[in-house]
Amino acid sequence: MGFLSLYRPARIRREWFSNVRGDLLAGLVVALALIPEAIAFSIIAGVDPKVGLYASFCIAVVIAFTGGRPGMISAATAAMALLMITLVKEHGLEYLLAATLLTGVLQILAGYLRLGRVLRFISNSVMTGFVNALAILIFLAQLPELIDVTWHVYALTALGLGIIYLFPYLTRSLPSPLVTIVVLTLIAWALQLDIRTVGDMGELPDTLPVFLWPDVPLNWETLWIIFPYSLALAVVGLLESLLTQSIVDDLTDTQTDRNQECKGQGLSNIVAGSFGGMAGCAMIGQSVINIKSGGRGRLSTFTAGVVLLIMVVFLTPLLSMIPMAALVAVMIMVSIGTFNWSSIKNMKRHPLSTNIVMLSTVGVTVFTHNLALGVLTGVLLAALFFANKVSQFMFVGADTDELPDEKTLHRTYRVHGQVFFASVEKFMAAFDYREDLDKVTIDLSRAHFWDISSVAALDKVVVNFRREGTEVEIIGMNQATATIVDKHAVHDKPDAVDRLMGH
Amino acid sequence: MEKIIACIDGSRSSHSVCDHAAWASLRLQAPLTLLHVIKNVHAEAKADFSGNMVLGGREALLEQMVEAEETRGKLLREQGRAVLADAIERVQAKGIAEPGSLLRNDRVVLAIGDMQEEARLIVVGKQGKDGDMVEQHVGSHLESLIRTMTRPVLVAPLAFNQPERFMIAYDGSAAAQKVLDKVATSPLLKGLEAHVLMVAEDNGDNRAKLDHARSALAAQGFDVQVALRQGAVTDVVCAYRQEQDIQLLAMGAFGHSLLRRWFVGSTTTDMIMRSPIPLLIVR
Repeated sequence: MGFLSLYRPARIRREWFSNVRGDLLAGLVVALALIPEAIAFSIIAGVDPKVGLYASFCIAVVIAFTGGRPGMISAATAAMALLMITLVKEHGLEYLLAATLLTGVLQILAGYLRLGRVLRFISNSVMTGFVNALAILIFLAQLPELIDVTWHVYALTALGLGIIYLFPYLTRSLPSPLVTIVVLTLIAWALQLDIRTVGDMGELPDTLPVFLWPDVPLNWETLWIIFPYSLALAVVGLLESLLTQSIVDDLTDTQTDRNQECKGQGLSNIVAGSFGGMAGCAMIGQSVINIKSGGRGRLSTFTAGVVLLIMVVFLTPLLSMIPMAALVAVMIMVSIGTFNWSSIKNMKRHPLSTNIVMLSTVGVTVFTHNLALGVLTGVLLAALFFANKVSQFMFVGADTDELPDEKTLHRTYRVHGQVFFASVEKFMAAFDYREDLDKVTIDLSRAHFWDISSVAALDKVVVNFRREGTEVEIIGMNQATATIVDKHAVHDKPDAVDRLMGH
Repeated sequence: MEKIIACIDGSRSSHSVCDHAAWASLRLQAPLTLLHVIKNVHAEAKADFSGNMVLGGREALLEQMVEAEETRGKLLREQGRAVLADAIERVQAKGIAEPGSLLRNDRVVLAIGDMQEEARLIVVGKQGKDGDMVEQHVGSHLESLIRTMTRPVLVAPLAFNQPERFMIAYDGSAAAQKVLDKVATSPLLKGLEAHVLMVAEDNGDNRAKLDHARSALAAQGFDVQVALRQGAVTDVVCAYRQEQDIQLLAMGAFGHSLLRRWFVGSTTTDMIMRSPIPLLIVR
């Protein structure tokens, strides 16, 4: 089942044409919101606004045809832009385009390797941390525009935020970010304010995008430069896309194909890179806006991309007049909307380990400006906490309340629960090697040995007893070590769990 | 696989479905189950074009959707139960002692597909809730329903008349032979006057086939009349129906490839559209 399954007539009808009116309108709203974002993210990455705008067009249009999740919006994003800053600064735009192509290849590979499943290892708290870190980074990226500026900029930004949040109380039929941009542009133009505008930030598109192969030498050195960036871009892009996918899945109560989405993201990045655009991924905020505006099908994403391009190419002179203050206001709204507000409230209820994972993800991301590192930290911490929790589920019971049998001097130890690297220390400490015993029986039938550390620990226990001259017998070894076997063939059988758990 | 399943939806054709199902249930001496499928559509588009995101907007959005759907879901289930209660009363009045009833929350075609293992006959209305008042309109689910069923389907028109004469649209193919055998051996149409109509060239081969069909039915005690005519299938069948006052038509379904149906349309759909009488479709 590859891309071809997307093109069965019934599926095309359902995913493209089941909600035409809603999709067209929502796509329009999203396109209006995408323009300022694409410009802002280009500025974050340090490239001309046209790079982000071309990317947004290509990604939205291609993903509409190839993605796994109808109704999800993908374009140039902040998370990706933040990863490109150094590459652009040190090597320039051409290397960024090459990195974008490689990102796409890696993502398609991930789709074919079915890495969508890997998402299971990313716990809820890491996801929450990811979203919150993203929100904070978007907000921080706006600060340069608010430092060393005249009071006009602050006034305009405040006015912009006011319009964004208050205008929906008047009417919900017009996108308030668009109204903000129009009003602030008019004010700045009417008062001839000497403030920074989008036109000052670099080149805007004046033509349709054209195919151009990145102008970089095709050698190992180039690969060596772009590979680390591409890898981070691929990982973060897929993370944000799959996270957004599950959010949209939840909102619409449908299940969609994750691996298809990975392949689609890859293909859309390859197209973006070959038309002079930067890498992008799914957008949490825009996808939610799309759903809220009534968009459900692939047509909404497609419309957003096409309308964006038409407006951009025809409105270039007007776009260049937009004051940066208006963009800042819109971006502050995006960051506020992206932030998971309930996670702050939930911190009181959640266990400490969960909060530490979430905060570490946020902390590392904000510190390094790299979401990939933040997520890696979160996943590692979550795994460690989990191992620690599970290691508590181990105890060794001995018939210690009675003296060993007078005649045979024999004692039985019964091991219960999970023995693995995190619990071996406790396991070894549970045996008393100093007792005067002829024989010890260790009953493992209620224990699970998960790894080689636990087996080594058991060997050590046996050796310690033998050194004291005590004979050791181990029973139930087979059930206990069944869990070490890394082959999962056993899991296919219905009674696998029972057998594994030693019942 | 012994039940009659009557698919109702509370639309105006439901009464007729109940009547047809009761009639079939009595004739086949099979238990009757009334099935009503509701679908609580999730995340229906409610347009808010403000395009802005407020703090906690995502969580709030999900909460709003869930609330709306919860209320609607409860309402739909209540309505569904009322529709079933109505139908139960109606078939009881027709002499069905203990009709079963089932309310499912699913897509219609899937829900019926899940049940067809236990079904001997599936009775559906020609048009459902979204059918307008056009006599010829065919319900949106009907074609895919017939296509996915392996059991015989009885498509009921808007009114019930006790059938006394039925006809089989016969073309001599293996599929048509199957229809013939099914009808001949089933108690559903026992004792009714049978007509076999073949729309094909008038030659010896076709005559032989028709004779074979006649004897197969006659062997089961049917009073049979046969006819061989030429012309466009649907037109000829409709003309014959009017002229002989036929009250039920038995036929095979969707014999052609998807491609051909796509371009030419299908005889089955055409027949459903043009028939004011019940259609027994045998796969």
